[in-house]
Amino acid sequence: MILDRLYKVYVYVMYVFILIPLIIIVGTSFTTSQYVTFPPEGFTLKWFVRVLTSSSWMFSFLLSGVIALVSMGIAILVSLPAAKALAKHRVTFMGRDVGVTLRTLFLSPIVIPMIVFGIGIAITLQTLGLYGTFAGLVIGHLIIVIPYVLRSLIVSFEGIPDSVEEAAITLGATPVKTFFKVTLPMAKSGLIAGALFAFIWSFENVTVSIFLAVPGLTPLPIKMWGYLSEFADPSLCAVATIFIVVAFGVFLAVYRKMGKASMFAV
Amino acid sequence: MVMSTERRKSSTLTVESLTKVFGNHTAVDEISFQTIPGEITAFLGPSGCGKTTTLRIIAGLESPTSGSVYIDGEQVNNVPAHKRDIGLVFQDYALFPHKTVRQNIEFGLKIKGLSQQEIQERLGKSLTQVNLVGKEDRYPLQLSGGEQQRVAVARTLVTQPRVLLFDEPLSNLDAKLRESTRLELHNLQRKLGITSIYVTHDQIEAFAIADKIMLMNKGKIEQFGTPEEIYASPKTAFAADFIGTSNILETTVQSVNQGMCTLALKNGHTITGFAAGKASEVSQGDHLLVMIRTQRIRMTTTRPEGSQLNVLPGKCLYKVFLGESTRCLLDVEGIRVTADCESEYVCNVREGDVHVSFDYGAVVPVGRG
Repeated sequence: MILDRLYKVYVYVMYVFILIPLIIIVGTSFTTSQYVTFPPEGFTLKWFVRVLTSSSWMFSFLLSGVIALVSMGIAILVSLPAAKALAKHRVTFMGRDVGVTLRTLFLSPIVIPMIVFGIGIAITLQTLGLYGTFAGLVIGHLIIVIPYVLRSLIVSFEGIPDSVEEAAITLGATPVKTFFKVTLPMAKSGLIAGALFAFIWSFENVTVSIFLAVPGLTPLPIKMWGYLSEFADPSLCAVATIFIVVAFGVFLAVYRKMGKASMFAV
Repeated sequence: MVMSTERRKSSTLTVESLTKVFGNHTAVDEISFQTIPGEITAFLGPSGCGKTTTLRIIAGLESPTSGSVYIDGEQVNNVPAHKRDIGLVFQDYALFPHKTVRQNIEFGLKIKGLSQQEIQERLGKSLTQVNLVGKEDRYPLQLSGGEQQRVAVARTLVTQPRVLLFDEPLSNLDAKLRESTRLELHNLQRKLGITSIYVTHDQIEAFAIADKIMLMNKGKIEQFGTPEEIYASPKTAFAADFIGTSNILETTVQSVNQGMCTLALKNGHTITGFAAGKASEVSQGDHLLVMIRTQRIRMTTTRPEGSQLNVLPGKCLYKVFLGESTRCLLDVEGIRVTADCESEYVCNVREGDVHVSFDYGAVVPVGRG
């Protein structure tokens, strides 16, 4: 009994520990003072107004959104055939089964420190003459998000019994039709979960973006980081609050539509 | 037999020296057979005997290492699975979980590009056929196992395939449901007259549903024939052992006289058996394996009288009461024999010395020793 109570207290302490920074940030974004204080003094929405009417903030916000959407889209297109091949077919190279090797290789960006990739991508883009371009940023983000989309799709495809696809084929569907009418719809939750994680990972990325961002092409997290070192006024907290609301909103929407299981299929 | 007007002609399925090798394992070894239009042929055998692989090759889901598959005389080896017009009912039903019952059944019809009117007509008929009217908007997961199985059957039948394949379709149902579903399947197949292949490892199921049985072992055909033929005169020791319960005894031919053989058992006793067709093939001194079904062996305390009866001395080691019958393990001077006797005749027989008897006709030669 005492142990039960201790566990409960422990869990609450953990919650508070995790949530305190968020509570402080959200609280501070409503302060009337010119500097970051907690508890907030008074209540105002002026920081939100300032951020939402600032063209440079909005540009970064939009830029991050577009980069996240484009990399998510490309990542899905690239990952679909790869995941299907790795999950459902024997992949051979010179007569040897290389499925596991390829899978490890594709998923390696998850285990290799992202900062290493950041440096590598920056140097590669420089060589290719793409450094400081939108395309360069998208390429960088693709490398971050593809593993997440791929992993989630592989898990979904593996969960589909071969017999279901074979049933479609014996009923007269071509393999291509089978993929679009049966396989893909059955992998829908994995696809959505993967896409969501891709979007979030790209949108909030700092470690890779920081090597690729140039003035005039600054994703939101980099802009926030720069702003913090120069101004540090509560508008930063307003940005952070918007960030939290957007991320949480997307997550919640997908969660309510797809259910818990699919969200954590990753 | 009454032919319904909408039914098309039943097809003939022919398989010619079909072989499938996986790595260094020969799953299917030179199999040839032909089905009679409208009949159900059961592929029966233990797991790993190649029956499912043969089925998958016929469906086009697996390509043979060598050999051919013909439907109505036309070779279909190079026809891809989606163009073969062969229906397959899977062991796990393989329903589309994201589609309703209606959408599952319509799937093949929509792929075929049938008119909306035709689709609705066939759908309605099919739902009635498998008794699923009112459940068309449910998803597979909202159905019981038996209902899911019926959807799987309906989804396949509705496309009116040339050949219908069943891959252990009842193995996921509980025993009671299995029997009633088997009857339904049988009736439906009879009514539609679609040439069918039915894969199973359950001999009772195969006997109940099939017109012909192809008994398989280790990738080869052990015997092909009607259930009655296979039961009454198994051609190999495997067939005798796999089908029903039987005793297989090693004997040596002592004499052959007008289709009647005198056979010496290993314990020195002799028995007599008809060797009908085989009589001409065996001669004195040959080693012969014979089968005696457990139900044909009797156990009595007094010496039984009768002509054409083998009587041997034995000991009843123990009895297992199974209800209508009692299984008795007997020792016939060194040879173990199992007998399934009617319980009322053996209930008073104590374990101990008995007379073991069986007709000459119960002795069936099944192979060389």
